[in-house]
Amino acid sequence: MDNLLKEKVDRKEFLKAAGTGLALGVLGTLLTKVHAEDVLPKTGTKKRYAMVIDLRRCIGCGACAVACKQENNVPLGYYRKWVKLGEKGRYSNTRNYYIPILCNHCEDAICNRNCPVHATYKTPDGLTLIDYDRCVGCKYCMVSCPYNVRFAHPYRKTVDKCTFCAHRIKKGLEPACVVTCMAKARTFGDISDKNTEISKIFATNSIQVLKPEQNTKPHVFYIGLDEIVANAGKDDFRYMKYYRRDILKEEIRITKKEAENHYNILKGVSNADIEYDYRLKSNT
Amino acid sequence: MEKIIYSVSHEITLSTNIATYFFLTGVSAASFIISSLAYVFGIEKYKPCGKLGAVVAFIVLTVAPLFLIIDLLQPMRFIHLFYMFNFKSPVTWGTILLILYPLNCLIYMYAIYTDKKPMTKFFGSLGIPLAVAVHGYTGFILALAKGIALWNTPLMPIYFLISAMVSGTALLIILAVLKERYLGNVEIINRYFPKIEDDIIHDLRKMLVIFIGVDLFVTFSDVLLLFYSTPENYTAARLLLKGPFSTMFLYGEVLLGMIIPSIIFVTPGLKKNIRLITASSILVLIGIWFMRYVTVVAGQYVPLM
Repeated sequence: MDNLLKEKVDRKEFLKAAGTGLALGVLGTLLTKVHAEDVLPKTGTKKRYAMVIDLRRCIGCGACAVACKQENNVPLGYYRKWVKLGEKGRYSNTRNYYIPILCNHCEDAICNRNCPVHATYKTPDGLTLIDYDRCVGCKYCMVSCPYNVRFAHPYRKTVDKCTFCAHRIKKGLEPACVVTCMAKARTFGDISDKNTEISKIFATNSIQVLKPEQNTKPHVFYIGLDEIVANAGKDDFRYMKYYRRDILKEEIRITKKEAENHYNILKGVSNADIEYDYRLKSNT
Repeated sequence: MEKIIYSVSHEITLSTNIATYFFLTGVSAASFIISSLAYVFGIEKYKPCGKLGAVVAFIVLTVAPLFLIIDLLQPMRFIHLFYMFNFKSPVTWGTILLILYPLNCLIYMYAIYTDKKPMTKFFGSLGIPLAVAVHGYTGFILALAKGIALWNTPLMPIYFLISAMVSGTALLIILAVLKERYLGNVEIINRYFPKIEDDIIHDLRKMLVIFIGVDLFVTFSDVLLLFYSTPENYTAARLLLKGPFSTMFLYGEVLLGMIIPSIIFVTPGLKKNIRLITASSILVLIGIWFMRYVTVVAGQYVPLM
């Protein structure tokens, strides 16, 4: 008798718990609906941050890549942005071409569309950001991206990419690569506002984008982009091998442990880490 | 003359785990469809192999998602996939299908073994579109990654489905022979799986030849069209036929996995030999695994920037 009563109570409790669990699950699903607005506040006008890179001025020093690594503490062997160096012509009619490559913050971002957990999202300002707390690391966005600017962060264990230095934009500063560019090749700003410098440059120059055929509407614009050099070597098996090599083993020659120590020096101290704010509020 | 002097390198992100996952879902979907021949389309003589197919479909599909989970950068976060949905993403479609399909398989198995005919028929017919979807979506996963030339083709889901049929049939042949020849005396296996006659194995062999034929045709048209399109597509085609993946593609996938087995399956002197049929079914399975691997890795091998 005693046992029977106990069992009854247990069942009741179990049902109660199950019901609460179910309700919480449904509620959770409703709450996790993504509101991109809660990261960067709405300002009334529709902002569209963009970057114009004037390749006629670029001298290929790579300071932008260094500044990016320092600002964002990008691990060794991985790049949020880099400068691709190409060459055209034969001696003595020849020239070097520099093509800085970074996340294009596409208007119609395929990574955003393909992310199964909405970890990648578009802010109202046109930035494409990753919520590192949501990301499961399925790496599908990495293969979706036509520009290959995403990488699997080996220590944070999420996917990572250029954020246009969102933590700096929030304070009214320009991204680190723009500030550091000694040739002033880069211009950053709101392209929907007709009075900004970038809008003037955008309107009065002939503008190219990388891979327009991918229909992602990229927001990194180039002046004087040479398509021939940009696409050079892609059909060369040697370049393919180079493109997919293990950079730690073949170029820097350090162990994984040493690379991790390198990362830990700036971990939590770099500007991007201190002002980390890419978390969707609905997630916390 | 233009050339690249410096660029940075990028890792290949999806590899063996994903290829194995695609292989296993394919086997599972095809086993289910073959099983439904007996229980949905009512071809009585396939019933013994229908039971085997239903069990294989369920077991293989419970193993398959583990390969996905260990491939995540943070395996413990796989739970996010169940309450954060993005219905535009094929991975989310997969989450839903990978819940529904094994459930359906389980109910279908239960109905078969308790001999409930209307229930079997209902869940069998529900399972066919689910089986097609659970493997077809993997084709869409690759096809919707639009940056990669080798994947971004409408043929990809069809290519995946037909090679799934090939691998599923081959696995059923191997398991049937294994059961009849080597485990024929084990009591517990005989209780759950009725005897599979040689006749049925030969029927499966004929099916397999047809599937391999269609697979060859799809592979051919896929590679042919790569040659007549954008520069990236042309590079991908060269990669398969001349580049680092040519051994795996030409010898592994096409010769070992398709041509040699289909010759053995149709040559009059050889096709009655059950041992040879089993051996070539194993070759077919290896070939299909190579197909998954080549598709997944060679696609990412082409430089994007």
